[in-house]
Amino acid sequence: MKIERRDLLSLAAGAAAGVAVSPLPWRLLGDAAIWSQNWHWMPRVPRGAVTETEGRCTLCPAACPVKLRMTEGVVNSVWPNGAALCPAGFAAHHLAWHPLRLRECRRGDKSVTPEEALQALRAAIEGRRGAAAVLDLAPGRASSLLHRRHMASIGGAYLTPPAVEGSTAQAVAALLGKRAELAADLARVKTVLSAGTPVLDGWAAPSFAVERGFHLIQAEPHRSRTAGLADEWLPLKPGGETALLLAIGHCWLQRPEIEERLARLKGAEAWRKAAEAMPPVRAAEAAGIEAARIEAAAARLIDNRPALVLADGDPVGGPLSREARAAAAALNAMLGAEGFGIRPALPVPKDWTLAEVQSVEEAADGSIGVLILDEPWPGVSVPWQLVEKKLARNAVVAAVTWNHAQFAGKAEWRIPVPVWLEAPLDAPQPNDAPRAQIAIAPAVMPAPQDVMVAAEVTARLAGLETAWTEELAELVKAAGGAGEKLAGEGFHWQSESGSAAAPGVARAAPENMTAEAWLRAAAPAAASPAIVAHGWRQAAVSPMLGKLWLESELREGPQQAAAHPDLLRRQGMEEGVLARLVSPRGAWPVRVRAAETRPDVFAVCGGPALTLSCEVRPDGAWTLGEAKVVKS
Amino acid sequence: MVRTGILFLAGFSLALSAGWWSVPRILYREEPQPAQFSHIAHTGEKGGMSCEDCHSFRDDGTFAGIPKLETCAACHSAPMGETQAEKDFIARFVEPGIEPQWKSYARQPDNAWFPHSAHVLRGKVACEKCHGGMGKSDKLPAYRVHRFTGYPEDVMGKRAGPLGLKRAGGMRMDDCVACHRQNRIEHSCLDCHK
Repeated sequence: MKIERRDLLSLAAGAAAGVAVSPLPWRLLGDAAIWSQNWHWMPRVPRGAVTETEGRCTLCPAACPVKLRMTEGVVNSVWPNGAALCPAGFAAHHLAWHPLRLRECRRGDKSVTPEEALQALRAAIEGRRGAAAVLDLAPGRASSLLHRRHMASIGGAYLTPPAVEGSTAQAVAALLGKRAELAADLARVKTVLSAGTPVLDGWAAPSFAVERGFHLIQAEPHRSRTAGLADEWLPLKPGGETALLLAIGHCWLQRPEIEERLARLKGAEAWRKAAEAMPPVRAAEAAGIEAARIEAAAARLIDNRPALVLADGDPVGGPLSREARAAAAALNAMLGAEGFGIRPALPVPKDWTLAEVQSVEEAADGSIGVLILDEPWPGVSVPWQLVEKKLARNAVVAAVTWNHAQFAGKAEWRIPVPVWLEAPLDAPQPNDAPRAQIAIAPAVMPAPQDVMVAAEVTARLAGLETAWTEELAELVKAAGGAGEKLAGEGFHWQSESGSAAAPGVARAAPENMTAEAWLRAAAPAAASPAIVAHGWRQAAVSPMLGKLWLESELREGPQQAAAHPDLLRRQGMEEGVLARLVSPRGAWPVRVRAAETRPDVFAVCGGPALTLSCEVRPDGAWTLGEAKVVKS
Repeated sequence: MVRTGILFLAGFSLALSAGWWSVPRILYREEPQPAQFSHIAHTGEKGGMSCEDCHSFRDDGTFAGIPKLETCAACHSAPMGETQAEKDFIARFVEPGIEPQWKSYARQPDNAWFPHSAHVLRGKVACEKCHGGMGKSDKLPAYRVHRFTGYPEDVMGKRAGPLGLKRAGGMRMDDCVACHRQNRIEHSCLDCHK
């Protein structure tokens, strides 16, 4: 029998069909996927006896107490220790294995040693003495005091980014009769009006989201996590904060206690004039909220006291305009700043000299010759535009950072830092309580070679022989701690909560604020649909957490654009389609989803990279410029 | 045409049979255990022991897994019975103090965290639910390990189901999730993937 080509093809076709209905290809496919779990760079949880230690999660100001379960020196899970913990806290130990983590010192594309980087920075500082600065992206830590000490010794500047969380407290502090640092006191208040501040979603300690004792009125364009948990959600038009806050003030005029206070405060006339010109019916157009709801909110705030008004803005979207912050501060001034307390200063050893704290906005343009960016953990970011214009020509920029994205992409030198649990890293001051804290995490896991914290970099540049951990121990001792077991056990200290007496308010408005400026800021916004950027800082801690959210839709994940179904119809978009967020500074793919938002708003959820691309408006607010969400 | 059909069917049948027959043989290789062991000799009427007597929990609640030599040596420093397997075990391991390198049939992948204490102590899940009749077996079954993944056959699953699309047996994530759903136990990714 002659075998023809057709016979072979028939046999092969039959064999192919037979294999397709056998387990072979399918099983191989599934098993190959499982095989990919075993690639050598995949982190593994060691086997063995489990030990447990206590510590603090220092990835946000809440500094929640945690229990760390470890096997063979590797933390395999984080649990709350007598308090609530946010989802990022549960996954906080993932940070050590973050795929974006920077593990070696680099100059551009080349690998260098930390010594080379330090030498280059030292040479640059010597050549431009007086023009060196450190930009502390997480100010308020004990480590920040170390930066200030080191900068003072070389005549450098200590810069902080514009406050987002805590910006209302700063605005109210500017109205005090004496210089003091203020912080909101959520444990004391009965009513809170929040204009875009994510009070229950990363701003305050998670325990407030679990069990809070105050009535929360949340005003913002989309139904955020905080708005969902709040007692009332006021769907505020983007940019309508000033109008809303002035209209609330308008409702309070004629009240005897307010009139009495106005009579005593400086700058009261400007505020009175602006508030009188903004009755709720007028504000309703600019704020997009019915006049009756504004009146009800105003009544609740003044009748159910102590009350607090917050206008801190969003950690990704940035601070609100100066006028909005000043309007919120004025309302707090009318309330006697009863929702705030004076935060005591951190104890500092007597012989330490510290550089002044200066906002990066206040630094002269083109004045910085050597800039060290301290980016200690994920989620902290500022618009690069803000930093860029402060740099001198041919300035040397070094990012002391945990990752090779964000600021590392802007810097010539990149120095890797240890992450949480690899070094005694500490948390900033809490946003929700008027107390000072030193919360230092224990260093229970080994750190990669060549990492160094930013305080060590600035110490070396300052020529200090003392190790940064010893300096930190000095601070701990100044706070009454032992300081010897800092690395192994961490440390936690907090001052007594601020005194019950409210801070003495001297002014109703900043000196340079006029009624006209307020009313200009309260005018209705023209652009529609508006793009509102928002996000949760802690989301960047664990990529797995982000994936979980995206897939489960439990909350908005990064690169999602939420819009009202009516807006989607008007734009010819369907739920779930891939679109593009286009701004003058870049374009990002976004997944469109229908959500509870105002019908004239796209609420874009993003991360620190989105902040980096924001522009800074003359009024201090951050914006995506002429951004649009367009079909892909 | 008929000839083409016959050849097609021949190829189909050959590949189908080879596919079904070859999967377990291709995917797994057999590895020997260091010694033979009879569970029923220990857990049956004669031995009267329970699973936890050897596969114990530590003081902190964590599971110790396969017992160490010292656990065996506590009873078998000298032969207790007549079997050759026991004599061999004592001669090879107990007397020279060499830890037998047992291969675990149910060792979960390194990226999965399985707490026995949560299931056995708190959830009261019987050992047999996951380990089947191992506790009543007279001989250790063949230890077969997946060639790609390095995971044991008991974890990966012994065979494929009808049409090869559904795997049967094993202790994979699907099985964990199915059991949790069946018992209405809430679960999240982070529970197992730390």
